[in-house]
This record gives sequence, C-alpha cells and structure tokens, in this order.
Amino acid sequence: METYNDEALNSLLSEITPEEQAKTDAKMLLAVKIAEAMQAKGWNKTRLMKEMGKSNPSEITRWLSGTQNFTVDTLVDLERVLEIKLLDLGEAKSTEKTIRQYKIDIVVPFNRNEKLSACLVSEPDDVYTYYKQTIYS
Amino acid sequence: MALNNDEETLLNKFVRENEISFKSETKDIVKRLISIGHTTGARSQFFKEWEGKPGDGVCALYDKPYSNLRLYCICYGTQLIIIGSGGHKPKTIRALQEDKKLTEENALIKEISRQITQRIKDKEIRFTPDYLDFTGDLSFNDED
Repeated sequence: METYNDEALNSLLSEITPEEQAKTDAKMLLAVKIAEAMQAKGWNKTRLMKEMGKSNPSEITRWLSGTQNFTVDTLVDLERVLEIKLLDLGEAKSTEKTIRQYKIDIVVPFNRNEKLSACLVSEPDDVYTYYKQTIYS
Repeated sequence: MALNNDEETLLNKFVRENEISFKSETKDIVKRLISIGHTTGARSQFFKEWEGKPGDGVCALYDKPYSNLRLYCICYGTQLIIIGSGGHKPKTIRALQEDKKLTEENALIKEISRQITQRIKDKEIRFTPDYLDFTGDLSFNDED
C-alpha cells in the first residue's frame, strides 16, 4: 500500500476535537432524519417549503445538506409538519411514566385451515375495539 | 486519490491550498467528510450534483452557508466516493467556468471519472464485494 505525505490534512485532523465532530455529526444526522421523513411522506423540497411557509427552495436544500445550524423554532416546526421527533424532550416533560393496560382476546377457529376470524382489544376505558384481522394465509 | 507520482493526495492538496485563507471552511469540510465516512454515508443530499457530465457522478460537497469553498468528488452510490480537489468560488462569479483554478480542478475530476468508467467497462477495475472500494489497476498516468 502506498503512503502519501498528507501533512496538512493530518495536522487539520489533529485539531478537530470530539466535541466539534459531534456537532457536525448531529447536523448531518438531523438532515438525514428530515430527508427520510420527507421520503416517507412522499414529499419533495417544494412541498416541504410550502408546508413550512418558506418561499426560497435553496433554504430547504441547505437544511438537507447537513450544514444548517437549526434554531429550536425551526426544529419544532419541522417536527409538526413532518410528524417526527427531532428534539427529545420526553424526560423533561414529565417524570411520571404512563402505564396503559390492554386485554387482548383472540378468537381462534377450531379448524386450523380456517382463517383467524377476529380479535377484541379492550382498552382501559372499557371501549371495545373490534379488529378484524387475517393473520394466517 | 493521488495523481501521477505525486506524494500527496488531492484532498491534502485542497487542505494545504485553503487552510490559510479559509481555515474554518476547510475544517468544516473535513469534519463533514468524517461524518459521511463514519456516520451517515455519502447520501446524495449532501452533494451538489451535476457538476460534471450526465451520469459521471461528479459532484461537489455543499459549502457551509455563506462560504464558497468547493470540493469536487465522484460519488458511486452512497458507499464509495473519490475525493478530488477544488478551490474557492468567489461570490463575484456565477459559473465555475469563470474561475481558472476551479475550471481546471473540475476538468481534472471529470477526466478521472471518465478514465475510471472506461476501466470499469474494460473490466480492469471492479467493485469489491462489499462495494466499499475498487480493486484492480488503479494507477493512472497522463498518457492514459
């Protein structure tokens, strides 16, 4: 394997602290998360621009480029329109853990060749939700 | 990637040429290359595409907002990128062709892409099974 004199690059690399790199990683990962949410919704840049009330498409391109230092306001707006979580405030919001109990009744037919007919899920407020499912093919 | 018998890679040349005048921008580009290599992969959203000829994979890493430093690359999917060199694109110009240095760097990366494509066609270069690298005859000379 050939070795090269990459002195300038190595010198610059030695100046990059883990803390600095973590900030860049976070910006890049936020951009990835936004792009994946757009893809899941089938949105292009123009659609996101309209949903965010922006008028300049290059702003969306910059958000997706991994170079943007987002404000909290923008992240909250992105969370709302894309229906994703970008800021993890779960622990700060409440220290209480909510436990919900569900009772699931599954009706299984005697004949194994028959399809599973239904299952009942009873929720804590005693409202029965009827789910017709086909699990076996 | 290094050219001919150069002792330095094109990326080192890029850093050496810009670290004085555009220190923070150069550092930012290197940090983003580290993120791409270790965390996110080379997603197309991080690159300004169509910086070369149609289908040749030549692109430029997006510059930091309000910075105009261009680093040319060749992308092969999201797993493999060849990092070339680049330079500063002054705000006074719109097209890279208006700057001699950028024009030369862009022509160089397009030529490298052309030669790699030709060698892939000639089966002199292949992707490794994990598509993370090339294997084969990777020495290029001006005569090629």
